[in-house]
Amino acid sequence: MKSRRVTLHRFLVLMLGSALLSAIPARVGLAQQQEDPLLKAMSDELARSVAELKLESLEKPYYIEYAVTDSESFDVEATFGAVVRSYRSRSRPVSIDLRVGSYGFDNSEFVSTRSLFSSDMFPRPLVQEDDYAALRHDLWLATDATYKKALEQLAKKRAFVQNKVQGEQVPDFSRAEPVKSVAARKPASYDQAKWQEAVRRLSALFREFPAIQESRVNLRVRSVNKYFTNSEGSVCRQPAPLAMLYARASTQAADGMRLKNFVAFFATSPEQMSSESEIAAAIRQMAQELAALASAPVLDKYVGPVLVTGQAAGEMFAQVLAPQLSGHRPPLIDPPQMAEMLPKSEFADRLNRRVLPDFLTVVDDPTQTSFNGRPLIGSYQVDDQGVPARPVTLIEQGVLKTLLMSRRPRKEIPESNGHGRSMQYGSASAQAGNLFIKTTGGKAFAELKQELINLSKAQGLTHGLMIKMLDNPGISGREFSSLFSPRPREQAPAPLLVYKVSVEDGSEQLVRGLTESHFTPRILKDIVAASSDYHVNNRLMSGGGGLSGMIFGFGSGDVGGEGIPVTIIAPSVLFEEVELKGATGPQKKPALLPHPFFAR
Amino acid sequence: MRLRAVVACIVLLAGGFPFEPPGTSAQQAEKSPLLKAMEEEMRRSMKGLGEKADPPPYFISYYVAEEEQTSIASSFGALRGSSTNTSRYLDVQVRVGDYKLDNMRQIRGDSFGAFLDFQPPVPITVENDPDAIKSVIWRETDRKYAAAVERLIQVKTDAAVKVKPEDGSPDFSRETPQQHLGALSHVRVDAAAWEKRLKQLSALFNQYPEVHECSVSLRASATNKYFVNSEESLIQHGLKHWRVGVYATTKADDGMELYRYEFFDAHSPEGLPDDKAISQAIDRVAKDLRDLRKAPAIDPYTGPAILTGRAAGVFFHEIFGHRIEGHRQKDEEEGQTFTKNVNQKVLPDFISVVDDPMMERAAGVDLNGHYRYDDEGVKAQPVPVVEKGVLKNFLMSRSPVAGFGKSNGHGRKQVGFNAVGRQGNLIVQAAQTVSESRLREMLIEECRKQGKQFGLVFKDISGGFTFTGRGNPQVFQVTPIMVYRVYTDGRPDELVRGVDLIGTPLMSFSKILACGDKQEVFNGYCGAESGIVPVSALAPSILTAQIEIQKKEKSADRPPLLPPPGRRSH
Repeated sequence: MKSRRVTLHRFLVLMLGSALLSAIPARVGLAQQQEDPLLKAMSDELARSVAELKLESLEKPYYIEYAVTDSESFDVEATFGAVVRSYRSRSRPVSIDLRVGSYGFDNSEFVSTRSLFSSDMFPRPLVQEDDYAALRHDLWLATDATYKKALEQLAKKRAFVQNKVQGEQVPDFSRAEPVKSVAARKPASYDQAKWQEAVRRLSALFREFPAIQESRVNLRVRSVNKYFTNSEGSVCRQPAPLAMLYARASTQAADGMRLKNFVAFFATSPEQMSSESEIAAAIRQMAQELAALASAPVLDKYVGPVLVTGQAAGEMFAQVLAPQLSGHRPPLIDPPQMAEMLPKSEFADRLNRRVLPDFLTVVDDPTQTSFNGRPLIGSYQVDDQGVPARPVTLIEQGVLKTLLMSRRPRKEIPESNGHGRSMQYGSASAQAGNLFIKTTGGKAFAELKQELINLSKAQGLTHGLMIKMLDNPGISGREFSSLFSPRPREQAPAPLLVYKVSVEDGSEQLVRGLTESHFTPRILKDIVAASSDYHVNNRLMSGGGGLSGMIFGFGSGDVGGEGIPVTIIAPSVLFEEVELKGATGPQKKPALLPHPFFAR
Repeated sequence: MRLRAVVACIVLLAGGFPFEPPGTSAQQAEKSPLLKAMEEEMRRSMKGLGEKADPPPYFISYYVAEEEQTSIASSFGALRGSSTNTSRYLDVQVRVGDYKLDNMRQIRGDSFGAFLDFQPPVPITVENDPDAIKSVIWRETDRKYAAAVERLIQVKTDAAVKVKPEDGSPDFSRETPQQHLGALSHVRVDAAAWEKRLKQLSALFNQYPEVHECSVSLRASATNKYFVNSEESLIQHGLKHWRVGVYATTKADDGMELYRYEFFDAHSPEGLPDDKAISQAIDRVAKDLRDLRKAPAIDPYTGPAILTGRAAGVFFHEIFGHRIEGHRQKDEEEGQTFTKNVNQKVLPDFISVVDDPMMERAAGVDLNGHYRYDDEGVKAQPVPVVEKGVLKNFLMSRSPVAGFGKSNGHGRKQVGFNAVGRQGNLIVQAAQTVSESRLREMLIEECRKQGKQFGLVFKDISGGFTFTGRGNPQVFQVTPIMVYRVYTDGRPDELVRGVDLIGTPLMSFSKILACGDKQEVFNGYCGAESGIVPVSALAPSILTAQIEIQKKEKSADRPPLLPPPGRRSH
């Protein structure tokens, strides 16, 4: 114990001179650290690397960070009453952020064609056993390789910058106070057999729906403990468990139109997951809606007032607003034309300008753990760069005040606000945690619906439109071919459940065919009213901005159940005018033979 | 004389296993509920689509690959990972048109087509619920039918607007339907016991500070394949594969990455080595790495060399085996090295080559490339490819080429891909052989004749690749690991590193001078356009008058800057 503290102390002195001397690591947690071979191996190899890692005349690292995602997963998928796959897996990848240069200019955030898919972007697996010596051995090799790559990157980045006319220099990395937060490990605890049975039973519900062609139910349980140490003295261990249950279904209308629907449940542990009967009821409702959709009349274009409610409200804000709030400054890119591939925030240049109506205020608060009794999966105590979470008011009465920030500074926002979050791949970027879209003077739903009717009437329409469900392809599934199609620049969310609302009697008529929406960041300020009740939308997202956004897309980062857990809490909102239309091009033909089960 | 001995040896080996003529039910296992569901849905599809679809399909096949797999790996005494999985994937093939011209025909000039046409295999229930199984098959059949109709239109357009292909063979061969209910395979691994054992064994690497990464691993898998087609073929069969691997890496002082491995392949756990044999392999691997670190990096060299059995096996697999795969003879984007060489001499007349997937074991080793039915439901058969140096046959799938109208049971694939002619167990046989020591003498004699100070002996090759396409030079490259200089002046042999063996196929074959009398087996996996399939290559040592090597590309990274943690000196 004693020698351990000496080592830590020594490396701090060696490394940082004055800046962090005041933040000598607290003794709290050291005992726990020593009991955990992984944490101890991380701290010890980090200390050694900081003290000794140097290649001849080249620069030493000025910052080293180890982030280990120690995870045990259980996945089960079933269809039509039978298990398709069921497996447990363990993984323990380490991501190393090693920086050479200085806080002002370092090797980070430089992408060249050659480095885009370099192997160091992917984390390296560590031995899964808590074996101190073997863990250190793995960390030793990983650190060494990362250091050499970092030196190479820095040289390339310097050469690139030298040839460019530079505007004002913005530092590459902001300073942050070290954090000690060593929480108890949370072991995996769930009854695999019980859950497998439940998923199988839930998937059998689709035997009640002859109108549905295909369906899948997936359960994913992630028992994750995140480990973090950096050379500034931060030491964190945080459990980050997650359980997800997705049910998705698809079918064709008689004219061949492809239709789908889904329902998803999230919890921070399997015990908190909704009960099987609640899930079953929701799946039945989802299936009924899809069946109804298959025989609903077609509406192929619409321009007019639209009420976005329920799941659709959260989904719309998640896909349209959340990515705009990421303050992650894009990397330097060689060749610069490649930057076109990067999703960009339109809001980033609109600080202190109005981006929403004045009755909406947006706060991101990762420190909240539930809302109206529903778990918020976007909660965390310390972000993935060792910065404590805190509530941040992003938009105040419609005016953009600040952005979600990681430790990559912007000119106008120099510091992190605890939103540096990472997927398992690539470095941390700025992403939301629990994003609250709050309304003042919110209206009851009935009132909002009446307003929709009034607006529609005023525009001389016989019907207004209400959207209750928007697609989240991360959950409902993408067509395999679409994975290779060029990513549309601004993919607007696709409506799944759309209702015509009669201006005469307020009756709702489900319609199909309006698959393309024009929900864009710019129309958000045209929201005319919001409800007083909120919808909680839990989801996985890719990193906001940055490289992972380039590779995994901007909005929905859910690729096979991986991504950053985010919650959007949003009211229903009414737009005065939105344009919606149907897909162009030929429809697939309907299935030639009937479903073998229902044909019997 | 030697040839006869080898053939006798094959007969002997094959003789140990029941040989079932097609259609008999002798020793057949029970029909799996999965196969039954596939069969029933097949009947419904053919009947239903025959009545309702225009054009109707003329052929449908359902193929399910089921795999139970346990993988365990350990490094330096610690468990690196352990997992057990079962998966089942479905491939549906629907053909519209007719045997002569159908939707599967290659569209010329559309080299990306194969990539764009790739569809991931469809996961199907691992539980034998017939309703769930059929619901998945039904959807996939409908999807594949629609795609087939669309593609047939493109194929017909292509045929109409372009010049006639050189090879006017039909698109699909007619084959005798096969019915075979083989026993299904299962692996049950005592994971805890294996984890303990592999940890103990991998801890032996702790004695070797120069080893950077290591693993001692087990992979045990049972693969069951289920196949039905509309021609009334109905097949289920299973294979087991156990592999213990010893792998380690290091870096030379000049930054060259060095690695060494040994694999033990077997069809049952009884065929695996005991702890002592594995420990010895660990020692060999570690010591070879230590020697390789000190070995001089070699300069480019052209001259005589011996490829010992395993190395010669890989050499033949890459430079010869891939060029006798049937579909390449028709594909106009291919180099077609041998297309027009049937009944001509392509190898020295003392060499014959056969590909025999039916062979289960040779030279004391279970063969990776063994199977009884190929992935198009055709019975595997030994194919004499080269007889006394003369090319006789190609490895055929059901895609005919000029002069070869039928499959010979070599249509192979990984699930998700379309089968093409692939190798199984490629066996190189020599009619005249010399002892290994005589072969070495001949190497030295040849060096003297050519005025070379030394010749090379390739003892192990990790793998290689070859370009067979027309747009690329017709070259190959294989990556040897253990290469020795044999000096003409009697100095001891010297290990060298950093060697890539390169060359062009036709020239390489013309320079073979003699073969040794020891047949060795290389078990491996081969990746090509129909995915990854298990293969074996068997060959004697070969002496060649001329081989060309180039320097291996090496990483500029130095060895790790710091010593391994816990060890202060390197």
